[in-house]
Amino acid sequence: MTDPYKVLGVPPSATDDQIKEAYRQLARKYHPDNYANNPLADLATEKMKEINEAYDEIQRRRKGGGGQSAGGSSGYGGSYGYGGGFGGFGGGYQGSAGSSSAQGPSQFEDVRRMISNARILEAEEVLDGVPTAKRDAEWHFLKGTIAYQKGWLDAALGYFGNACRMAPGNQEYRAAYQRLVYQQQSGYGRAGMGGGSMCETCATVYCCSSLCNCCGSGC
Amino acid sequence: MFGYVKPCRPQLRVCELQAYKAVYCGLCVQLGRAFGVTARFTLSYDATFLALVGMAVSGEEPDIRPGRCPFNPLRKEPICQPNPSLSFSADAAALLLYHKLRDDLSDKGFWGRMGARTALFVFRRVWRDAAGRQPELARIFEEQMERQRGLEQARTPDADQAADPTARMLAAVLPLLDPDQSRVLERLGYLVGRYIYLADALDDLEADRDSGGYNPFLLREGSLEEQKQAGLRSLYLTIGEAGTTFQLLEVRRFGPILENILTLGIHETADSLLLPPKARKAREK
Repeated sequence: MTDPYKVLGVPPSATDDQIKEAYRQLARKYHPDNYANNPLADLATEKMKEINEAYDEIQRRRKGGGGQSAGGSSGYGGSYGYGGGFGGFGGGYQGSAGSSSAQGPSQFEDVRRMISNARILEAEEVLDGVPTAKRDAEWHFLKGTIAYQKGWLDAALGYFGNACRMAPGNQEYRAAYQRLVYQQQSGYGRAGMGGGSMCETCATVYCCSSLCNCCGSGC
Repeated sequence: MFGYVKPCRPQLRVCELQAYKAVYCGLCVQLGRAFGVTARFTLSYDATFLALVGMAVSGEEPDIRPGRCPFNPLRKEPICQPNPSLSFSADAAALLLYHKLRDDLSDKGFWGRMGARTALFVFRRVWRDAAGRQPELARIFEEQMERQRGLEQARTPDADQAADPTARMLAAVLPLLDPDQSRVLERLGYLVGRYIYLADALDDLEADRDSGGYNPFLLREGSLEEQKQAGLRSLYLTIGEAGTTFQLLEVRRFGPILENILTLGIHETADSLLLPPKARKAREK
């Protein structure tokens, strides 16, 4: 196994609090919600698993035990609902399974399966063949997912918006829509920077320095 | 070339800025060596970004040494010595520049066309050499530019579609830097290419309105100001996604520099596109 301290990016001398903080930051960055519907969701899941394992390993070593851990989610990881039991599927599939169980059988199980197997073009063909009268909220959501995976973000936002309007109570659609709305307004993905956007102070200093340069007394 | 993919300098640490400059200088040296002196003037931030990504994922440690620049021979500056990432990005940059010039030939005004024609003449050997070394890339670029011309002639109002050819060009370039991470690099390349196209479109908005040239943002409803704001929102969507994608890239070095470029840098550039030209110049200093 790789050095768990390296995975969390802390020195072995770090305090428990520092480790917890490093873990929390990374968990926020690679949280599956940030990568829902993303074609790279499986990579984020893998990364998350690695981080959880590293954190558990450090906890185990520090408790001086070396004994078995309780299924990987003994530590802080459990609170993110992200223990050892998560299989090989991407976040998208996890989401879809959740929604169809809540809302009865889906009209588009096959399309969802194609999307989670990265058969995007095929999935799109099937959806485009659906007659207009049968295009429900889920149809719009799936069209949005495909557009999102292709990188056609403007179209994705539009379809997710349609899906939300047609089924206002659906969590899955709303989460996808809100994430893109946030991105569109802020220019930051939630995983992009952990609160590290240009802070007020820096922005002020920067503006002042720009003004200085204007007057020809650049520093 | 385009110059939209650059770092937010005040947010770089001193050592990071130095490394960035060393790669920039190294690329300039590489361009001079591979294509002759004139090619040095084609140096751009975008090509530097490409070289940085290449070195970030490469197993080889870049060799940065003090050296002299022929354009500023009095001071020794750190310069990155030739390596495969530098020569690859020089080739890719030369190919992209060629297509940008071909594009200018069709949609710029009279003087723009003259400029593009002159540049094409001067750089024709550069392009030939680069295409000889990277035949696959040259083929993909040619194909996508053909698509782009078709979309522009059809005056598609859809920014997603309009940006797709440029996005695919970059999506073809980046995976070549590290085949083991081709999925992440492909998506990152797509998003960066999309960002470059849309930034260029937003940048040219007023000029295209005056000249009647094609611009996907002009075909949206609303006043010029509303079109600008809508364009910025498309850019923001793209930038945010690029940042999210970058987090999945395993880098061996230059991580903070790339993170700066892909979150703060392109964000700052996107914002500056809406400023009046004077304020923008002041900000770039």
